Amino acid sequence: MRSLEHNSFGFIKNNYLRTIGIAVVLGIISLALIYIDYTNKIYATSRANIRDVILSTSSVIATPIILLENGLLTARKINGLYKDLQEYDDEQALISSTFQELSTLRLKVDKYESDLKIIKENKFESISVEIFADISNRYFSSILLKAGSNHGLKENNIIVSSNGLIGRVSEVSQDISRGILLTDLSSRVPVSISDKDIQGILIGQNLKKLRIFYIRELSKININDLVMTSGKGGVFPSGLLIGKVSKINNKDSFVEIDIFEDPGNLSKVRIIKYELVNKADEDAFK
Amino acid sequence: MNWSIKLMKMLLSNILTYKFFREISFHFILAFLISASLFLEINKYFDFLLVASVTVYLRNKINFPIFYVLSLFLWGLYADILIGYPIGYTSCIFLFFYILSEFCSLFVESRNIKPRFYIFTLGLLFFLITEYLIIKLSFKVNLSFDIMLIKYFLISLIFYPMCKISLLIEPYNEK
Repeated sequence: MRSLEHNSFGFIKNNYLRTIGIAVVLGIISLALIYIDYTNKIYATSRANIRDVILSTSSVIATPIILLENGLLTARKINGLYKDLQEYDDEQALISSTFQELSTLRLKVDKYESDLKIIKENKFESISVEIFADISNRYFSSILLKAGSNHGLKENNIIVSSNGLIGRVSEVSQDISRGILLTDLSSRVPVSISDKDIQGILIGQNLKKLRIFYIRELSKININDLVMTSGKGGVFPSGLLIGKVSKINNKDSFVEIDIFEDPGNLSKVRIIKYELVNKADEDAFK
Repeated sequence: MNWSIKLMKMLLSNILTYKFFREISFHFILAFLISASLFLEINKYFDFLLVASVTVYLRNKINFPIFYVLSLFLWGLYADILIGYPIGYTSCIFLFFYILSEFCSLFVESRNIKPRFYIFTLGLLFFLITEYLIIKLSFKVNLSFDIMLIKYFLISLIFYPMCKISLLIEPYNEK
């Protein structure tokens, strides 16, 4: 058993309570900071500004880890190269026929849109961005992107891959941004299920499987139905693919889905500069 | 004023000694664990912040306690900004394990691993359950309890080897 004199506070006698007191006060300050951050989100700008400096420091400190992981990633990529090449050869045969089919469909859609006088959706600018790090953890799923306000990124820009929606940009600093993934606990996306356009809210569970709640017509949903963004709320454009239904839970009234894209396998993503909400707000003020 | 002169003298006397080097090494290890948590994919299953917390808990000799406590708080803020946790979250974890370690040191000798392990596992369980309940209630989501238990056992598993290493680096009877 350690006496007060010989424990870690022994160099100043009777200082034990003072140091514990400081630790408790700092603990209370930390809890207060969590509460303020949770309710007001007031640190977003300052956090984004400091992050660039902290990230470069951390990159230097974690150099051995980064080198090791890059080495493993390269080895894994080389291993999969032969398989990819074979798949590519197979796909090439299909591409010409698929292209023909798509062109015909595009022409048909254009004709129907002009016949029905449908207002065409805006085409949004997008950029390809490298993923700096996957910082998903016990309860939070997010990635760091190697682009920021210098590259025209803004909060709530959409993150997609070739297979569909991944998440949205949550914090932007000059050269680095943070993106919240669909799997994050705080992620909420209005979705449309199947061709029957059944509405629901996709909620992240920090697991690979996501859940859709607040569905009115659960009985009309089938396994393997497609899930895509509904465009409600204005944060996400409509029609972005997310995944397909894998389980229907009638007891708790939710649907479980498999997402088409696992961000863990990606090294690059596409950012769509979609700003419907912000533009509407600006117009409202004019 | 007198206090600052004393502190300066103490820092100078320690600057070239093993103690000072050990203090720096500890903070470097902490910085490395926090930074590694950002870049390693294994972090989804094996939480490096909890590994850093084990390091904080196993610390035996602290040369500059007040600065140590403040540095834990600051390292927590550093981790939060880096990883994207709510500000103050990691500081809370570090300070919790620091207080637990000091509480434990009052009753148990540093080299007595078993009781320290029991106190640690109880503290870890308390921490994880509190965190689980807060997140479940504030985000209103159904979290998987199994995953939390796997993480709990993984961290408990590394306690023994880390404790042995800590005792080798930091002799318990050093004054």
